[in-house]
Amino acid sequence: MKPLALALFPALFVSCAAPPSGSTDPARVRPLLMGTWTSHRSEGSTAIYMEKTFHPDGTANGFIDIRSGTGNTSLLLPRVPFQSRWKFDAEGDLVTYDMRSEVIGFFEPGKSTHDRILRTQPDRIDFISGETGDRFSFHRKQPKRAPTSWSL
Amino acid sequence: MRLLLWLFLWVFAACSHTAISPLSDPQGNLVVLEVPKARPGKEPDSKVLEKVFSDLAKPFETRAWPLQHFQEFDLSSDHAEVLVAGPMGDLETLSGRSFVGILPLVALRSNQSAESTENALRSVAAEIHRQALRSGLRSVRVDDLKEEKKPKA
Repeated sequence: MKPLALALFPALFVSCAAPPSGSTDPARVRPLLMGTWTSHRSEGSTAIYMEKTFHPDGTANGFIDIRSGTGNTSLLLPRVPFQSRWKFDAEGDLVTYDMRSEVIGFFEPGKSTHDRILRTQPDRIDFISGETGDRFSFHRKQPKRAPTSWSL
Repeated sequence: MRLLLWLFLWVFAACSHTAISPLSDPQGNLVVLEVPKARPGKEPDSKVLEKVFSDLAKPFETRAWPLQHFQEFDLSSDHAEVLVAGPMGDLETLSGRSFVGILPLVALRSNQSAESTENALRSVAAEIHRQALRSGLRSVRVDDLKEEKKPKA
């Protein structure tokens, strides 16, 4: 009994240390994806915030806010509303394509993005960008919740 | 350039947060505002310019205006100020129409947090664009201007 208990002991700690993770199977992620998500990214002193709503018909819409600044001054670019389409490819990656905005020249015509889903939770999805290899997350937009602070 | 210098001095003189944004239309495109009764190559009438900026400022003349743009604002203890400034010059559209235009920069300074001020600025800038149209000013997208005639901030 003693050797078995010792063998199980580290296994228990490994499973406790691993964060809970939902399925990354597209068939299971698809219903989870429906609704509005937010994403924050920082590039130097520039912060990019996006809200995006996924619809069951494969369309999505939202807006992008770009902000730069330091200390007690910030410069905001006009909010960029956008529409796009989404699907899962054969490898289970989330593909975003047909990105359009009335802001002339904001999106490159014909461009698409492929993002691999790393982990899903009811209010969070973690991705790795197929283009850059950067990791980023979507957080489910909470209704009537005070916006989180911007971080530069 | 002088207007921009004044704007920066106003920004840094405060111990509050200041957020600045160029004016845009509801679709997010940067715009310039046409100065009425002005001719390219001639200095615009100062009274006309004064009227342009006073018309834009009309929605912000009441003491309670911040309540329309901030989620939370205490009129007895919070403060907020709006400033509209920007370079002016001779511009030309892609279709060949010449006019005198202003590239408005909207600045909002308040004692609230950066996030609160930035959120309010978007609302304020949208209101200024609507007010510009209500005042009869023409709004022209920067992308509709000839490249060499685009305003340089």
